[in-house]
Amino acid sequence: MNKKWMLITGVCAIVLASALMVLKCTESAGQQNPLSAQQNTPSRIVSLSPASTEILFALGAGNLVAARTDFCNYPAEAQNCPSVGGFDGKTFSLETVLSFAPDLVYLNTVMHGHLVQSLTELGITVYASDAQSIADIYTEILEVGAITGKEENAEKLIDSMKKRIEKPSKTSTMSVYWEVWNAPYMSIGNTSFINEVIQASGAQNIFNDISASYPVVSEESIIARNPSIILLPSDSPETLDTIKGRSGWDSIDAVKNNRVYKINGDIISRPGPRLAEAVEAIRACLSQ
Amino acid sequence: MIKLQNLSAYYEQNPQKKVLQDVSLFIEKGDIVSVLGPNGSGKSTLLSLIAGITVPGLITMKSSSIILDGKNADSYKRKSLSQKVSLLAQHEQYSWPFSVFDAVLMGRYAHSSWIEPYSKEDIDSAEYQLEELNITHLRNRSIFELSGGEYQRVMIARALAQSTEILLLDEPFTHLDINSQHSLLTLIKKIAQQKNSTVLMSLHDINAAPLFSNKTILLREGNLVCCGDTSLIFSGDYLSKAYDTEFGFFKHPYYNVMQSYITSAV
Amino acid sequence: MALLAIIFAVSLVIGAEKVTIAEVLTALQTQNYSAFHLRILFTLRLPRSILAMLSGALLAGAGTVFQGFFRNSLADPGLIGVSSGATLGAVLFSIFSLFIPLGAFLGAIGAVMLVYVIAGGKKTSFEPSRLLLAGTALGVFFSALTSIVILMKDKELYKMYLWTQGSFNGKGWQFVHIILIPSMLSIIAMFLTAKPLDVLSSGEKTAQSLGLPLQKVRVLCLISGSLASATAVCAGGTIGFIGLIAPHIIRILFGSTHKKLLPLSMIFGSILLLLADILSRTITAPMELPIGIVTAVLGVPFFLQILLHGKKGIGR
Repeated sequence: MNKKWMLITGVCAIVLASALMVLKCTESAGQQNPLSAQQNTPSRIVSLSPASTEILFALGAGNLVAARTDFCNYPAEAQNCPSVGGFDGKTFSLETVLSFAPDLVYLNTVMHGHLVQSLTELGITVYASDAQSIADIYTEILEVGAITGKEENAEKLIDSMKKRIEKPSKTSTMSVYWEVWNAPYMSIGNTSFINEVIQASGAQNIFNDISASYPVVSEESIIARNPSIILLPSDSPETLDTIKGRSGWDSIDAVKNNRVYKINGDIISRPGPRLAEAVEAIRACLSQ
Repeated sequence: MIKLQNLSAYYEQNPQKKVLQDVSLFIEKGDIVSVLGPNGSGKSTLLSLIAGITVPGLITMKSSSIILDGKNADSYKRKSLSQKVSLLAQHEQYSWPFSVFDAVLMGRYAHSSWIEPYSKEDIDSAEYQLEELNITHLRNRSIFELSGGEYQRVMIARALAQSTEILLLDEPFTHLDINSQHSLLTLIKKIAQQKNSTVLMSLHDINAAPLFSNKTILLREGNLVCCGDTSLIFSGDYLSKAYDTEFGFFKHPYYNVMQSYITSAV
Repeated sequence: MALLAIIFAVSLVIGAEKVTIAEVLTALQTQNYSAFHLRILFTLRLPRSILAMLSGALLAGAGTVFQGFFRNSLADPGLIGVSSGATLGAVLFSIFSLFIPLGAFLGAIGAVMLVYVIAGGKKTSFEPSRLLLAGTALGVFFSALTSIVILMKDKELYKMYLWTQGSFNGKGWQFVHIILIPSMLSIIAMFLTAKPLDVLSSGEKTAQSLGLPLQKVRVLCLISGSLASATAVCAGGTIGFIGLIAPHIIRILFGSTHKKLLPLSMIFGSILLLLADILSRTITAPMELPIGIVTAVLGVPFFLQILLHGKKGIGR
């Protein structure tokens, strides 16, 4: 009888402890942007995502950047800053980030969320970007503008972006298939950022009905949904010819009319200032 | 039939300790031989080597020679060797539950080809052995569901189905009750005499030797103490040397053969 | 066997898009294959179903052979490093933009050969225990290498993650042509192991005494099983579980004699994988689920059910 009670107590203790741990973790994840603590403009910003770097430079705050990632390839000036490592949060260490003595770390919630608590505990201000839509990006630009003291630049940037993005579209809605990968076939769903960009340009993603970001899709559906345009990211090894070679694909309008285009992967997948460029690029493809 | 000359073997890890040391003996066709000796005397190894089994880690010295029916054991291919010698090994179990019939049928493997299924002759032979061992009623049972005695009968049936001239049994009756031991030993003796098979069986119960075998091999720590007529061994001091104990002898009141008993104090 | 044919037909008919049996029959009668739907059928679904069917058979067959070789019903081709090697090969080929399935195949074969070299070399080589140790150690090593490579090229991460989940998405006739010969070879080789595996299960010494050329049989098992696994991995990525449960279930339902066990396992494997493939492309259409997940979800409850109520018992 005694042993049984000990076992039950033990199990309960373990369950309680785990629950407490889980609670503690989720609650600390909620402390995202302690901006109110920030009084002066930061002078040493470490940017952990390419989009963040672009935003900073577009706002004219490039001189405040102390370090960036290997993938921050735009603008060219960004290359002059030293690098902390890769984009994936698991490939660089907290220490490397700290070695640049930042007073602000500009990161991405999804990729670097696990660093937030450690950084704030060390007294370093963190700005975590979690942009899910174009509207979110405008908000982010405003906020970062406020932090870096470039409010005017921020408003100008947003205005110019809005002008370019919100042009009324003349063409009728064309259907687009965006191919992320071809083995297996992967496209974008309606929770993907790229989906919104495509919609903003006036086209319709053929998989807009899937509520996922990067779903694997049935080849037959691609063929059945007959996109008028096929778009590929610039780093895809596929070309019009290779796509024409796929059996069964020759019945697709986009293939019949040779409407396969590549879009610069960087500008479309980064939630940053060059989105307008991406929208324009897509519009250019649509109107050809 | 079986001629061993200077058979010596040791395990790789321990070359100093010879598992078998210079064992030389001669067994004639039709002999029923008991292999006796204390634990670790090399009985299992001896039987394994005669059957041509590769034991992991065991190395036979080059000076050794094993000659079966006039031919060097090394010159036999595995299959033809298995048509000549069969070994009922100790401590080996099936990993999957086969039926009794299928298990016995496997005894015919050496006589069948890689690709073709077992022939009618194979099947008949298996059936015949089931009858001989009185286990026909068990033919569809799973071997995992048998009692110790029934299981041994199946194993013996399989060994017999192999139709070999030489039958080697490694402690086949150790875990059986006295009744089963006796009946199985009687059966083996009968079948062996019918077919003029040469049988070597290692036994724990040394008193079974005079009852069932005409020759005896005595081993001690890898060395051959003696190989000869059983009656001879059950009289001199051979047993005492082998088991390092004092033995006395008496005549079995029912079977008229010599039996031994231990005389040193308990 | 009939069940397999039925499931195969179903696989052809069901999919993300609809094709009716009437259309199929009409086409067969009129020999007019140009209709859009039928093109889907023949150019996409037929080869895909064939691939799934073959892979299922290869995986189940390899599982049976390896379980026989290791004399353990928990054995699985992955034990000797096949899957880890395949993944490493796939990742390396992916980085250099080479044909990934070939990388997987070479990786699998390479891993197995490395294991043989390490564990073998002497007269008593290819012993199950040594192979197991070498295979496990190398498997861990390859996984570590794979992780390192992926970390350095984190753009490959998601693609590789998908690959390890397994999928027949987008694989057409080209793939069928590639794997046809190795599949046939490995299936023939596996069938040759049926009789010996029965004897092998009687014990090491006993098997030899019964006339089994131990070394030769072991090598045959390893070669046939590895080739089958590598080919399956080449076709569909790493799909776990089928190699483990197919032989298990058949053993419980139909007994352990390999003459029956091997072909029945293979058929069952085909059925299982075909079903999984059908489900993976219909449940969340037009989205597809990774097939490895579907096999696990399908297989586990079925397996548990059989385990609890099976009549013939599993091995020791």
